[in-house]
Amino acid sequence: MRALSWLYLAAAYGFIFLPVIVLVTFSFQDGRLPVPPFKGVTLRWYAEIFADDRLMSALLNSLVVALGSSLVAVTLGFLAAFALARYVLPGSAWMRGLIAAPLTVSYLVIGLGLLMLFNQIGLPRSLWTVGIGHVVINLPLCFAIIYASMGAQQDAAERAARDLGASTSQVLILVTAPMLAPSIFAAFFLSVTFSWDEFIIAFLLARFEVTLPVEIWNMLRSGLNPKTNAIGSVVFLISIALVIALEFTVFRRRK
Amino acid sequence: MTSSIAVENVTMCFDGFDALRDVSLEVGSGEYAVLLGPSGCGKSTLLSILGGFLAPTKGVVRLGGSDVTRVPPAKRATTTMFQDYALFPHMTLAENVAFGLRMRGISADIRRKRAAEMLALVGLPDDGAKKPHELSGGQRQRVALARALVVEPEALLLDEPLGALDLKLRRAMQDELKQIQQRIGTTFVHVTHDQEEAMAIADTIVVMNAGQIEDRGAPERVYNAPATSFSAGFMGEINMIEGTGDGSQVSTGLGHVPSTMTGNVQVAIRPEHMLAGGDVSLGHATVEEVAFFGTFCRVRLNTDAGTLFAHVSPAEAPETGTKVPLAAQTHQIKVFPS
Repeated sequence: MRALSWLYLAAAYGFIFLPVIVLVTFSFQDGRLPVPPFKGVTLRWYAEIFADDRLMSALLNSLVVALGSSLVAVTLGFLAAFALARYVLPGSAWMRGLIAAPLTVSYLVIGLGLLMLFNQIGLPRSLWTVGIGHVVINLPLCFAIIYASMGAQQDAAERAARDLGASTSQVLILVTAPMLAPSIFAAFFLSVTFSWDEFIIAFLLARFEVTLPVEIWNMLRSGLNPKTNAIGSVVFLISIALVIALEFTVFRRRK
Repeated sequence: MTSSIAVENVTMCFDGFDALRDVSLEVGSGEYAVLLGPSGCGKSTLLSILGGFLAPTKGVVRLGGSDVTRVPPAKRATTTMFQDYALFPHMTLAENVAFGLRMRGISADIRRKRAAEMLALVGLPDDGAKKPHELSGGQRQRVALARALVVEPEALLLDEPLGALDLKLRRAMQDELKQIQQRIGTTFVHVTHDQEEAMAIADTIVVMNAGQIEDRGAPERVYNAPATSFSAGFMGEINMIEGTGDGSQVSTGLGHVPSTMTGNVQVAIRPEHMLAGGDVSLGHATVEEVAFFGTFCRVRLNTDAGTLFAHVSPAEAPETGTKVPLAAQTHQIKVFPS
């Protein structure tokens, strides 16, 4: 019985991580095709991707879009959560629902909708429009995470701060935001991760400057190549770094 | 600085429910007033109105004579000590205490000095660098007090400040609160449902029930000569006996009691006056049970007017099953319309 459960565990983790292991392994393939048999270890493909200006600028674009759109999404989500948690507004239940609603809409639909809207108002496609798209998908997430963590404890501390003479902006900066720091960081890092990996919206809304997932897709169109494995491994490495950063900043604080 | 604080004809409605009905109250400058009543009586609502967290539906709030009804808490010269203390968990104790000074734009040097003085006043002189989670409940309560007092409010409002503490600590802290209030001379308005706490601490007790003030006065007066039967019942244990008055005396199951009241009335006698003797004889009773409470014994009596209770000193406790005479002094017997 015990052996069986270990086997199940191994199978489950294998199912999750085997694709990643294969991807990373064949990024070191000393040959032209990232398929078995494994012919030996080389860092040639990594050298090539780091020398590839288009890939490197796409990587930089991705980082800028991820950090910028997440910052905006977290700020807007925080302000919306504060307003809906602390003030009696007409139809707050509806507003809460409306803000969270995009979570249920597919990225493809959001991307198409934005594409049509930007065409209509004459806004040219660029990294800015990709950023706007990523704010649209991450704002509901940031709102939901931060809203859920606003409890009576912050409410009481905010009242005390006001009683001692703090204005609303002072309450937000000095009391609410620091008390909610763990969930604000969690929302920020999740947003960065989602934006970093996001393909469809970035594909639809970008034009000359593209993000990394779009550039990788461009590379894939010309066939399999260990270079795609190498850049995929770099993406994976950065995602892992984000998760570790999340672990250290957010979950450590809770202890 | 300290000021009187007052409400005039304040009514507070919440969705058709009247939490306060036409309440007027003045607390004098430097006075320690305690709002006492059961939960739901409106005492916390009244405190929120005094602090500016609620605007009354009708009526006026005055601080030192000027109308502050529409002044928000941040601009009002009162501070509140909240029930759960509401300390800022991400700040040190010194930063917590100095917060109000920081909001007033006072320089960091002076803030540090004043915060240290306040922490010393409340008995935590060496703990300025600690965070709130390192403290016990009683210590947090002291920090909350220091934080509210450092800005030198004209009146300090305390919302069940001792409610979260265990009984022993509560009794110790109530003495300390009273001492600090006497030392700094600020007007204190304190909300509680604990009548022992109210009697120990207050210059003036304000008894509230169902959105109205039932009684207001010094603890001794409110205890010994309550204005209403509710006030009598809430300020400690009391025996209530049904009776009928004819204008010169009241007839009860225990005999006649002098009173000018007419019609159906309730006669109220504190348990410590039942067996102590006096000029008004109340017949005899059978002792059913004697329970020991340390400083006194509580005696259950079977009388012609039903079951009543008496408190006597343990040395004078009667034997179970014996018959004892009941009597009280005229001034110890209160008669209320029923």
